[in-house]
Amino acid sequence: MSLLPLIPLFPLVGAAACAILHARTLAARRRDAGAAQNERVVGAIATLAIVASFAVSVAGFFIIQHEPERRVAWIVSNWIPTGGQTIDFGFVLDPLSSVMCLVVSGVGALIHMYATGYMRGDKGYARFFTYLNLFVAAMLILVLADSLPILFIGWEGVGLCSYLLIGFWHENMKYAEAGQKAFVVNRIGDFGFLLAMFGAATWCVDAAGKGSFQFAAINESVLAGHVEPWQVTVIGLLLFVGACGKSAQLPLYVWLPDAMAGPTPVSALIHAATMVTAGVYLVIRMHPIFDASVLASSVVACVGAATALFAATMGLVARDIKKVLAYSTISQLGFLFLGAGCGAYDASFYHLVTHAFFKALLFLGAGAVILAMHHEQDLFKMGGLKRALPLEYRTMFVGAAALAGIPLMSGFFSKDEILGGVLAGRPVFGNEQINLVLYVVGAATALMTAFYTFRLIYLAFEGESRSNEHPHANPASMTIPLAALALLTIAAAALGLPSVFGEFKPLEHWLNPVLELGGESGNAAKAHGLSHSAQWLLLGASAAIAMIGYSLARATYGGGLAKSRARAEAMPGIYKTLVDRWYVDELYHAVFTKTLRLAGVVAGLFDAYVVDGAVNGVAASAKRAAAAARGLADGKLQSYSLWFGAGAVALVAAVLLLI
Amino acid sequence: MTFFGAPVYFLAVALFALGIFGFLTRRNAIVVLMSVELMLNAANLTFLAAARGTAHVHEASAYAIFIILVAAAEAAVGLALVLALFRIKQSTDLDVASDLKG
Amino acid sequence: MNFADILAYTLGAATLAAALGVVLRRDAVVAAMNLVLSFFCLSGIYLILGFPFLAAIQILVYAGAIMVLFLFVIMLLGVSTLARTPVGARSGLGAAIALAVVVEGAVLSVKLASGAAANTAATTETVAGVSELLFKQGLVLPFEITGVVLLAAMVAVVVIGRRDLRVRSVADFAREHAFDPRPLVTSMPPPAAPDGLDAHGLHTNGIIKNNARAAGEHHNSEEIAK
Repeated sequence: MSLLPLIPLFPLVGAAACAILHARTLAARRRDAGAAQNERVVGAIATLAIVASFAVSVAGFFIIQHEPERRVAWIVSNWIPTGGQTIDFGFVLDPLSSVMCLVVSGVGALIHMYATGYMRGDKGYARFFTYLNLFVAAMLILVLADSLPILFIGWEGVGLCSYLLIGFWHENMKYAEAGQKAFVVNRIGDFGFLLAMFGAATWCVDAAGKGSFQFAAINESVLAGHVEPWQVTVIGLLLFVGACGKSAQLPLYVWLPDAMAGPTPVSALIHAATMVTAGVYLVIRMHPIFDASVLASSVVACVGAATALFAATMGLVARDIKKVLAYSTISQLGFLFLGAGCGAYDASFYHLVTHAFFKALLFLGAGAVILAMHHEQDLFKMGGLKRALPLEYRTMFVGAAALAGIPLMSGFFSKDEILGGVLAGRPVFGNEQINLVLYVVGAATALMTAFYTFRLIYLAFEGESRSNEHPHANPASMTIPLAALALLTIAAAALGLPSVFGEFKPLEHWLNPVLELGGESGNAAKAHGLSHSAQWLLLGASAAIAMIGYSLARATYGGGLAKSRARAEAMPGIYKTLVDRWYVDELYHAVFTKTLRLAGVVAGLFDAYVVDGAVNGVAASAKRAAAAARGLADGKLQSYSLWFGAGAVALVAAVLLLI
Repeated sequence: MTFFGAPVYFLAVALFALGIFGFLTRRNAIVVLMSVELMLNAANLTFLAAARGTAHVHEASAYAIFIILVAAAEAAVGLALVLALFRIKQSTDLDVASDLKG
Repeated sequence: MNFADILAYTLGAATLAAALGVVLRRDAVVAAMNLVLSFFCLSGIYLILGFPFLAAIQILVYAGAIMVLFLFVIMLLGVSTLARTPVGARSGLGAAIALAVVVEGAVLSVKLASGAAANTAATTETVAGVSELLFKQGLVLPFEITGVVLLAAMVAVVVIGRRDLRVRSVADFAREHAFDPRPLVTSMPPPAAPDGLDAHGLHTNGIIKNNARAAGEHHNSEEIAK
């Protein structure tokens, strides 16, 4: 279908247009006239590009419903002919990528609209939308890709845009460094991804012994058992290394909290809703590999659970409103991996979608609060905003309820699906007991999530104001996306209600062609299934956990900061450790950064003395040789003749010896 | 042993070698030119000795005349150069004329 | 070994001795005298070889003309000046190369001598034979060219021998002979010179001035015609 390339093309063209307009914006600013009008043009172009992309995605969504296998492909053959294999440039729209496209372009369009208000007056306005459009284009390429190399294009593209946008205000050295940190940490993941890609292309051969980069071919090869088990495990683990980098899992999560240096729409779009889910998307896309390898999928589940718990503990004490949300993002991504690792791909993807809605909503709400508070981000200096920002309060409350898992919210169902999937899913390391442990970890995380989410709400909106600033109202361009996302968050619950409410599971049915590769056994969670009574039990437990978390938050923060201070003082050790983020950054600094610096010094010495020494030595010996040779050219007729005569004699001697 | 076999060539070779030696080692420009004349005579001698008794004596003779003529021209130009050199450097020492030294 | 051989050996030894004298004796005059002696001995050898005409030429041109030239220059520069010139340098390397030449030459000599057929059909050189070649057929053109070479050498000697060796450029020449070497500008008259000023202010030499004036007059006459 020729519509497919249009999906990423619109944002790409939008990015180009914004880049051109950036120059004009700068000129307008210099003239001190027309800047505002220019901003409106830029904002409109950027937003409309994403809206157009969204429209095409919707069209594609309906088109593939009429396709026999619910997929259409667009392929340019022989994009990179190599010796053994030929890489085609191909996009594929199947249920999975179609939903991702809708989420990316839909949430992206709302966030673009929001950003037209948020970024008003910034001197890099057009530059910002250039990057943002470019990011959406790269993300759409990532989800539409039909093979690993094409996915890698998008993968690197979103990484680049993430770097550019985190360091958007690069005049601030700290922000620029945060961008660098994200980029470097992501490189580690990319390294694993590349190795996995080449491993898959080499090992995952079809019956004829021919490898391919295409997802379909790789998955088929794994399902058909043409690949050695240890090779599948290696590929799976390496893929997960890549996913860890992009999706901020242990131990590569450290860049995400710092990534909050970027403008808030960026945090919402890239570091909550879309880019960070790329790792999970990759795991789901290549799930036959994880189905085939117990070790790989178990590692995914355990790392996910550990990350979820670990990040949640740090979220408990963070004071920066965006940092709280950043830790919760890491924690929720951990949930996604936990579900995917246990084989509950549909639950995981369901949570991915709902998380995209409510986390984007929360970030945008936080951005609105920050802007209203004149760029104050410290929760302890807010409070009482409920009256000044009623719409922001209501929408954020919806988002918080969803994140905390308050019953009947979308987050409640999706999180519950994951927890149920963990219990019923494939045994981690072949041991059902471990599934139970992981469930407990997940439940504990859910408790903490509920606590810190409502801690945020209470600190920001309830109680008395702890600030001298007078919050000002936000423009409609910012509040409309908030309302839209709040509605989406509520509506998303319908996508995947648990089976106790009947077999109304549109998302799961929709995804079946992708997730049931290899038959029922491919979807382990469903194969086991849970009885209805067990499901009711789980739902009740989840609801209870959420309510306990909410009550704890209300008890602690409902009456201002006094009680929380007392609690923090009651256990200073733990509090300090959490505030200092478990000293992980310091550990990394000591182990990796310092080692690298030392290696740099050694390499510098090597360069100065060995490499430069060799170069200078060559030059010096040439100089010495030249000085010696110069002695021959003494300008005297007879010494020249001497050498001429010697040459002639030698020549005659050679001739005599030859004849 | 008749002189007109190898020995006459030996004589030519010896003359030529002496000419080379003089050309390379003497520093007086006039003596260097004399050495060149020695070498040219050695060449002439070889020419004539090789042609002796064949049907080509006249050709050899004619070429020897050419060589003598060229030698005359060379001596004239060479000596003019020596004079010019002496005018500039007040010396006929060839080693003094090394202004093109690199 | 007959008389001719004995005579030839003797003359050859004398030639060598004289050549050694040329190369080794310090005094330039003595060297020149040794050179004359070696030329005379070679001339004798030519005679024995059967080249009477060439023997005569050898004495006439070498001993008579070239050696006189040498001696003339030596005397012109002054014997005392030449005595100050150091005898030699690089004698080690020079001797090595000379020795190598001797060895290689000996090898070639043996080859040459053994290759020559024992042809004793004694055709002796005659003046008529040589003249036939040089003036009637065979080598007439080369002989004429030799004449040109000698003429060129003569001109070269005259130029080199000038007392004033200063390098002179075309511009110098032009300056001395008072004309401007730049290309003449004749294509366009000055655009407008109402007050009669010469637009070619820089070109003050006569030719261009005259040209410009001529063009201007032409211009004026055109205007008058209108």
